Amino acid sequence: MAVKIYDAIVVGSGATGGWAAKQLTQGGMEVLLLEAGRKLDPAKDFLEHAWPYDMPFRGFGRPMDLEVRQGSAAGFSSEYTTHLFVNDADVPYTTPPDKPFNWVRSRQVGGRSITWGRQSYRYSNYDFQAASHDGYGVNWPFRYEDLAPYYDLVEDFIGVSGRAEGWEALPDGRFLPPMKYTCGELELKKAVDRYGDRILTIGRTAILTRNHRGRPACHWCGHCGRGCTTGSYYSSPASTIPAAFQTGRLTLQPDSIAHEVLVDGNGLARGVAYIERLTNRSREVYGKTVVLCASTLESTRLMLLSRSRFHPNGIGNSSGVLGHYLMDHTIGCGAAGFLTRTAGPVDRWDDGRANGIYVPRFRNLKTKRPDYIRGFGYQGGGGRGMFPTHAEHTPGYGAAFKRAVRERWPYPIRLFAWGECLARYENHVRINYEKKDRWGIPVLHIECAFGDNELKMMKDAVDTAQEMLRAAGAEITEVNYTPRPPGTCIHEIGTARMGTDPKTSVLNKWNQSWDVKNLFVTDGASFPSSGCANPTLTMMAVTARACEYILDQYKKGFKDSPQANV
Amino acid sequence: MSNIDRRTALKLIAAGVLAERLGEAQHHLETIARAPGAYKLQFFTPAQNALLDQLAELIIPADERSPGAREAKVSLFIDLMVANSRKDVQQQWISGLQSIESEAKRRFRNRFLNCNAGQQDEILRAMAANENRPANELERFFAALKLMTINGYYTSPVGIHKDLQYIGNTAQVDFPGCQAPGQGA
Repeated sequence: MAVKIYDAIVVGSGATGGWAAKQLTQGGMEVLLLEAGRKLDPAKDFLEHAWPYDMPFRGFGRPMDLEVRQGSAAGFSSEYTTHLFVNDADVPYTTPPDKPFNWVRSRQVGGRSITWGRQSYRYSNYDFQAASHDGYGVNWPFRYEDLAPYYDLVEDFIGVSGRAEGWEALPDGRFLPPMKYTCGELELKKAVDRYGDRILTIGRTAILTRNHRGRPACHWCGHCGRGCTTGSYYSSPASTIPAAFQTGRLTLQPDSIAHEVLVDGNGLARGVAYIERLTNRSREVYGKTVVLCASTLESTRLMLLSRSRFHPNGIGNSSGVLGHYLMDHTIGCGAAGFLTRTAGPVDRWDDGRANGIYVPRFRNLKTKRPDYIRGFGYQGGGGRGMFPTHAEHTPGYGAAFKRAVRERWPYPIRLFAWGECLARYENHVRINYEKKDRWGIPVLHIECAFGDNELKMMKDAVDTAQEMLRAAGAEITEVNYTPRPPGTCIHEIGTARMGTDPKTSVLNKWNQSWDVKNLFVTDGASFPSSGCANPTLTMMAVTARACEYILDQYKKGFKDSPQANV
Repeated sequence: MSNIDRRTALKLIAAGVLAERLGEAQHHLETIARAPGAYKLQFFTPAQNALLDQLAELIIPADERSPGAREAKVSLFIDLMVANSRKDVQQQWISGLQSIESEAKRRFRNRFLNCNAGQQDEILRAMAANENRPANELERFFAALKLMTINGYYTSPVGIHKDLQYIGNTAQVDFPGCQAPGQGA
């Protein structure tokens, strides 16, 4: 029986896996897209038009469960989306008791691109060349100018709505029409504009504001995070995976849990060993190239698990830094309140728009702060949604109270910071061989904590958020200075970083393993620094760029191709 | 997922939520909104439920615009939420209801539900007096009661569709944004 040898095996079908599948198949390669989870059925799995009273706990979640939210339940999942995230009991991980980490995962075709926040911002040279700017850490092995054509390519294909602002730390993209502000956001924008050293713009989001490449524009139901039956925001099953299928060169194989990259007699990658999710049977697939897009920590876990005599510390780990320099953006710090001065009755709600405002990084650009390096962006804004969040703050009870809730509805307003996390060697993951997941695969041990720079940054961010909200006339009802545990932002990145020196990095500037030339890692694991902007757009651009190099190698005939050991 | 029946499981799957993810909530897909007669109290006694029902209606009453918390079955929502809360939270609810009965007995030598409207309102006014800075058990219980009533009412069909007359969660042609700048602050 002839065993199929694919030109490339892509592990993971999320935001980056979909891009690798598309680019490589469009470039002529036969690709196997291996996915641990199941294929979703939008008719059953997407509850975007459900009402709160359709849900067992009205959408609030079961009270007892809310208090112990950790792991995937601590992210943004809710009653409407629990089934779109893993059951942590199936796929546990360990942490030291004093360093909690919320590892929020989805295992399904599309990965977390089904429920992601869709915010899409380009990194700038303040990020790619951060070490040159302030002396900390390492630069990326390329500049913004090298990645710009791939940002263009990705935005053109997936569709990103936004407004060009000419702000150096937030390069403009190729945008579909921007979304509009709520009245409350216009008040906030007036206050922010008065500072002169910062801007407020409408969120740049991977939601279609007009029909785009055969996908319908958003119909403004406001519930993107629950999945979208019209495919109107970027998810790989709505966009890149169909494009890959159209080439006739894609094989999608769900329910296949990869646990090892197999190597040949020369130490080159020759395939992937996996376990069938439903039957627990062990299987192997073979390919000339292996591209890891399994998400940051799953890609690194896979590499660490892939030990052999050629790679005793895990495939691609001759440097010893595989697993190190884990980062996540800080989340949860900010302030919120209400613009109460002319609260009034509502005849049109604002919650059809699943987007907010963005204040891009304005710290440590042309001037240097004494207390911390790098910076943060704010997401926030606000409008009047279905649930009257002001009712709790409306005094009294009875008929007058009920009338006041209805007729004096203020604009909720919020500014919350997403802050850069410095890359620290001691923030790392390793394999915990004492514990196995439901399929017998050893789990990750994760040790990660925010440091002084992050906490000082958040102090400034929250002080400043309050100042800006007050300047807009808000009555502040919520303030938080303490970031949620790392991982909660679901922007976990690093642990298989790119670099220019094989002694201190895992990948070269093409996301290629220094040690194993036919192994690539193009997801967030490859990032040497975190920036402060949402990273998924950059992961997709990095993937597209790496794929161009892979295709170039493929056209040159894969010299020294591995032999499938059958 | 131990005692979910097949009919309920099918309904859960049809609603698009994997049954095994819902834990103990499997009985309540016949939601309070759709078939309140089918809901069986899980935590409060019928007498406690009747008291909660009246308290909720006093907080959000029927008016010329829309029905109140009673028609929205808020007390059943409170029962569901408290039944699924930690033991100490459950105890706070029991003891809060007891403190209301004690207050009614102290002031009017009667059970709360047997007090007339003026008397019930007097008790509620006392509970709500220090709403911004509750200082005793009764005042703290008022805050919990009010919040739970708000949560149950404004997530019910009565609250959403009849009182607020919310237009949303549906297909719309556009998001027009602010129609009257200056109205937002």
